[in-house]
Amino acid sequence: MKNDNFENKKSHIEVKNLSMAYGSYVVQENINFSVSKSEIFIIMGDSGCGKSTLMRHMVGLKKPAKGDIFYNQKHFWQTDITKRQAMMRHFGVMYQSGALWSSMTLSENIALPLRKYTTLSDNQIKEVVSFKLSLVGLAGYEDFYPSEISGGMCKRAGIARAIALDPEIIFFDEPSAGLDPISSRRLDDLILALRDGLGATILVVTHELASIFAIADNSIFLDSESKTIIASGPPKELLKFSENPKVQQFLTRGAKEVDSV
Amino acid sequence: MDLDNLSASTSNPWKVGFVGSTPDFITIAVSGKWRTKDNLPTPESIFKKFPSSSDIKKITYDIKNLDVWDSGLLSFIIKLNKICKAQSIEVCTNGLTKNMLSLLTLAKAVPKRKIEKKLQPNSLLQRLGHASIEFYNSIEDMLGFIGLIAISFSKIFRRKVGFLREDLLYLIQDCSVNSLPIILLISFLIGLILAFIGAVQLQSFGAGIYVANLVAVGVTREMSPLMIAIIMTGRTGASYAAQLGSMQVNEEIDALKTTVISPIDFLVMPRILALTMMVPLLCLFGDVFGMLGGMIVSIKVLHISFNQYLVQTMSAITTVDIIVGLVKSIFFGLLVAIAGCYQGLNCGRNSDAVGRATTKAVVSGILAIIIADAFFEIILNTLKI
Repeated sequence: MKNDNFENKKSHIEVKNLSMAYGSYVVQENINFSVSKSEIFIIMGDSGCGKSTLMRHMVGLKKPAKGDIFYNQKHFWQTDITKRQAMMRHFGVMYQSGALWSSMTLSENIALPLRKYTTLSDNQIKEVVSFKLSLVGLAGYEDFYPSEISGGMCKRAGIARAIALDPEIIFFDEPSAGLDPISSRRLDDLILALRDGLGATILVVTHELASIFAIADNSIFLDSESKTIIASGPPKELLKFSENPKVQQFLTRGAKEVDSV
Repeated sequence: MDLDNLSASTSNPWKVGFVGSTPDFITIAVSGKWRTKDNLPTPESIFKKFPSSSDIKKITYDIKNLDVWDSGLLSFIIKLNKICKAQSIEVCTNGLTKNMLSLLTLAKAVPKRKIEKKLQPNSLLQRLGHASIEFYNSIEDMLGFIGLIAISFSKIFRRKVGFLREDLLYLIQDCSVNSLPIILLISFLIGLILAFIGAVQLQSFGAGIYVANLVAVGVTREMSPLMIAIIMTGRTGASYAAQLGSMQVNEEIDALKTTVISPIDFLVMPRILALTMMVPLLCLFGDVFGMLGGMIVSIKVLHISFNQYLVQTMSAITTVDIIVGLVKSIFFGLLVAIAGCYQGLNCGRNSDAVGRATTKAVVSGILAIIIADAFFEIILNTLKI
């Protein structure tokens, strides 16, 4: 499945001239960036700048006002819905709150995409589900309902569901928000392991500095005032070389106070 | 030292005094209790009481005799400073404590931003315009939704069922067995009420036996399908809207979409199937219990025998009456399910929106049922069925 794209040099995801808007209210304009295969790419920025909205555009939930997104050099939005859905099958999405289907147990949640898109037998599915749950540290919780486990566990189960079909691209919406430091650290390790093990390209929307520095290969910084990208590059280099005061302030938790504020 | 006590009445725990060393420089002495709950004065009223305020060039604060304070004092100071600055009076905050100053700086740390916010329509005309546009858009949405349901329905015949069997069975159980007690009770009472009304009127003509006709035809053709549909709107339609609405809030619908599972196939279709299949069945039960209610009134009040009532009933209704009721029920069930699911899927993204979606589902569901019923009557009348 993943072997059709071994030209690693070519970008896996490319966003060109993307503008996002809710009705007449523009969230972000002229977004341009590209993500290489097996890269961990971070979308960061202050609260309300449109990070999550950008992700909603990339996973196919919201149509861009302008511009398009390309996966393996193919149009994502400017194409018909069947082709878009075919691309979406290679995505795994982890939502902020986990977004587990509350009427199903954890194992049913993870099994649903498998039942829908593979020809595995029930027993094989059971094996896969247990394996995915054990990857996120939830072995033994197969028969629990989402309402019976904690918020952090829901998040991890959400990851297990996102990786159910071994996707080529995994999207994470604020994975470590609301987690304790140890779980948060384990999650970073999990993200790295998923990249190394499955060779997946990973996009993370976050503002947790510790994770950003621990896992990022590359990043963009969205600004809510100028409504576009104000910095891009590996976060460690941004910290060293970026002269943008907002980026510096963000990456240093405001330690380098800026005069304008 | 002219300490002017400005506390409005002796019961107020706060005190303000003005100490003027030179005519253009005054110290505002705040003392006593300055908490939000202490009936604090407005900054404007204090500013008005500044001694000959036109000459003042600078103010400062004195808090030596301040007893207790909270953010009430701070917001008072912020506002008073603003007023003074507008009158080009310099404000010196040296008299305040370090803790107060740090809170005041914090409040000013991030400058107020100009945020574009959608204006809410104000005038009647504007609101009417907005409502019309919204109504127009909702018709378009609704037609699209019905189209999607039709496509999804056709998939069932192409053996591409998009939902889980256990989901459908669970939903069927919920709107059949679990709804049965309330349906039986209400149908029984409806039959009873119809019979009572009929008994009073018909008895005066000596035609008490025709209560059986009234109840039989009234219940099977009209009351049973209508009442059951209304109960199911309040019971099941509302619960569909609330379920799907909270799934929307919880991003569960988004998760379905990104897993490339159509919410229409997966969530809406089993609900529609469950209701359209089960409401006619409930209607049959309702028919029987409605006639039972009528029978009890006839036997007890009109002293008609069981056999007489039975014979009269059997001569009054035909299979056509029952079929008319069943066909109506199928349509009503469809309408209830569509109204509930449509409102649920179009719910906003907060808990308030779930409540609104539920209300809308019930209101639009009942409205749709009554309108459909009226159409049915016109059609049946024209066709003489």
